Amino acid sequence: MIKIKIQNDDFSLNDEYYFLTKNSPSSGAVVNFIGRVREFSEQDNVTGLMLEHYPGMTEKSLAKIIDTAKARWSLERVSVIHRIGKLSLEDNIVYVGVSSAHREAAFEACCFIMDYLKTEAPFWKKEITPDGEIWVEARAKDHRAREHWNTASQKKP
Amino acid sequence: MTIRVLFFAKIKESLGVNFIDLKLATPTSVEEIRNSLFCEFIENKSLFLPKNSLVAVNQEIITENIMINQNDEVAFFPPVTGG
Repeated sequence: MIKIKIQNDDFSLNDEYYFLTKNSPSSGAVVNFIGRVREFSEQDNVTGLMLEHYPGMTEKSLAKIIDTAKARWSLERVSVIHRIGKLSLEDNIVYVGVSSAHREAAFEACCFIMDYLKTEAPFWKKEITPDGEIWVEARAKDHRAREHWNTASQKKP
Repeated sequence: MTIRVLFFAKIKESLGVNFIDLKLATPTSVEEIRNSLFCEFIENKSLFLPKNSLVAVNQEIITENIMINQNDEVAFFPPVTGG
């Protein structure tokens, strides 16, 4: 089962854990990742973010990333939620949850999905500071993190 | 034919429009659309340089100079920064 949501509202970790584990006795491992609004990024006095996306393409892009992960690892369920609109310092931005029989697949697939989300899914962040608003630039570090998966072994734990 | 080109994020904000309808000969290509955008937005043409923009056709990022047909959905946007 796969769940993809783009929403303004916050998400509930309890709800996602329930989605990943309800009636799923084969899921021995659940990995959650939550990305949050941080006070330093391009600027060191960030008070909030504005997040925009490309409706339609975003959902297709995330579905493709999850399908690729499911082809590479044995996964039970995957949930990806990305918030859009105006977010404040310490708000949640993104959730990726993965359940699997074993922890290795769940950890790796969660990391894989985040690395691809950051470099392929059409979201854009604008940082809000007391001095003004600045679009975030793409980072080479994120692209290197994604490239790592092309050279990592293709085993299916 | 008329091709609607969508804009997002910094490109949309800098141009002040969500999209533009371009009148182009049939068939056309991504590079011809890029050249048309250079002409339409001469003061902001650097936004459409390959290093500053990605191109999606029918909601998939493309890196080749593919042909574009009527009813294709074309979008230009900056490198993505979600997560």
